[in-house]
Amino acid sequence: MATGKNTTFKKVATNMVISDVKGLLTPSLSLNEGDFVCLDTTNHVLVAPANETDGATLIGVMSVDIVNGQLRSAISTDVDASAAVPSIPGPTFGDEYLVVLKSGVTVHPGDPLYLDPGTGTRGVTTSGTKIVGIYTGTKNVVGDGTIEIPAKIGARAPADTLKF
Amino acid sequence: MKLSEAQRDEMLGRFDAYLSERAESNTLAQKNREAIKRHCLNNAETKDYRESMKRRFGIDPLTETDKFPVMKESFSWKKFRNQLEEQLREADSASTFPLFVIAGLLQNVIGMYQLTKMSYQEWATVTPTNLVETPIAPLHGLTFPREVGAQSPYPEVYAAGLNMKLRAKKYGSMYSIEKELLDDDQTGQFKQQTGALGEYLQMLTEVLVYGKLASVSGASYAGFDVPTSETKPSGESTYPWNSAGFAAGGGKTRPSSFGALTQANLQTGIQQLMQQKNVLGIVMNVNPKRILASPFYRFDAAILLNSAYYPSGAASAGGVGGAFAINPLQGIADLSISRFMPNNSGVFAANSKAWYLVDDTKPWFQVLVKTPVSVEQENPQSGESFNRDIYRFKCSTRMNADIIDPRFAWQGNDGSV
Repeated sequence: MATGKNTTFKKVATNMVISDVKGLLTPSLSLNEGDFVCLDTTNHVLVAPANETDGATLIGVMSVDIVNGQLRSAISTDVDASAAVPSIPGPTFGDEYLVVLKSGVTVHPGDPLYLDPGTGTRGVTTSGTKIVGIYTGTKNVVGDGTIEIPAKIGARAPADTLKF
Repeated sequence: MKLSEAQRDEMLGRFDAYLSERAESNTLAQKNREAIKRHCLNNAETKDYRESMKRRFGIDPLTETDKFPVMKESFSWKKFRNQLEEQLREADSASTFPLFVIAGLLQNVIGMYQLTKMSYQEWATVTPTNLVETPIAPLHGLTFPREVGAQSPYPEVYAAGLNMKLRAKKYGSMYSIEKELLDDDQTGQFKQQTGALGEYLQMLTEVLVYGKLASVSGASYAGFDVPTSETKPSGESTYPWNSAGFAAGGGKTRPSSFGALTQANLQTGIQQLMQQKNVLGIVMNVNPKRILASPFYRFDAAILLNSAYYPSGAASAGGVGGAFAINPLQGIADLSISRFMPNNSGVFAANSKAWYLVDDTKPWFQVLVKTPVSVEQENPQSGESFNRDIYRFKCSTRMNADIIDPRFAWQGNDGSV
């Protein structure tokens, strides 16, 4: 699994819905820094968004790498399974992050953005039902599935209300 | 022009007269000044003023001009005003008084940390590390040699050990206190509270050590959750306290049923530890030397370890433990009593019945310290400290503690009996 990266483009208003997500991790969860993260209120765990409407429970952008419910480990040993889950910082929102624009989509300055898990864990598009952010770049960009664009990303959890 | 002798005498006479007249007038002026001075010094108001100054400050303002320079002839109100303004500016500066107070607080924090003595240091091994994940690989040794027949090939032996790591975690707290509270607290107790930051980190280490030792799910003390042991090998189902025998080697670290801290149970623990097996099933060199218990067993343990006579009651004369028989446990082990010994429910209670017998000469329980204690204070010239006169202190440490190999310890009771 590739490691994540710091996708923060501009720190303008860093915020968190949950500051410590230690209690929201499952042993099967793996997320990279920079990935969108949603809150599964049914199972009370963090999940990666699977479709655009999952943006309703978006809580932000991951700030650390999580591998199998743990912080990414430096070395593998015989006791990995018994390692305790440490305090893990929650996803952040409110800043400008680099996200990946869906292929074939044109974004204009100020356009609202929606999740597009099909493009990737940082994927966004310009149409949908749950606005998660706004394009903050200065010129029109046509996505190819790899181009990173700056966007101010908010959170919709709880109550499915966009907030920055 | 040449003066005659008569003319010269006349001129000298006039000059003497002038000088004489001048001297007379100067004396008069001096007399006048002295009269005025006497009047000033001896009038009723001045006397009251001088008496008041003597009573309050112990100086005579009119005669001790070195202490009260206003009366000096060279005194300048202009210079005095400039000096006063300069001193007032220094007093108003944010960098003078706050730093003085903060320096005192920092010394308190560090001092309290050093003064706090906890019992884990008596048997756990504190090791500095500079790694976020410290690999630990205790090697248990080789398999046993055998008889070799004539012309027979030698049996091959192999080594076995443990393969584990421990990740340093960060612990700490932040304390905010307003400047006025520090200034106005006449008891100084709030100032001492900042010292508690360091003390609590030391206590947290004690809680972590005994919590990891017990390895009870759900252990928690004052909001600090202690996880179970993080060094459980993937091949072991019951760890670290196992009465059935480890999958690797078959060693046991607890009796089949727990018991109180008695002479008989202690003897059982000593026997089992001295027959402890490593991962290859070979007897290890374990020498139980220390009992770990809560205050609940403070007296019982002292009696067991310090009685001159047999501590478990008299038996018939001539038998083991008979009347006046010696105490075979006397001085056989040291005692560490901790206020933070969790019971089988993970509650750190002073009356926990849990007790352990350990070999404190081996580094089987490690406290890996990456940052022992770090005390930081928010810059008083920026942020909240400057805007609102709120001092914020942050105390943190990066470390972790865990069992490296439980085979050097024996859990006599998890607290349930």
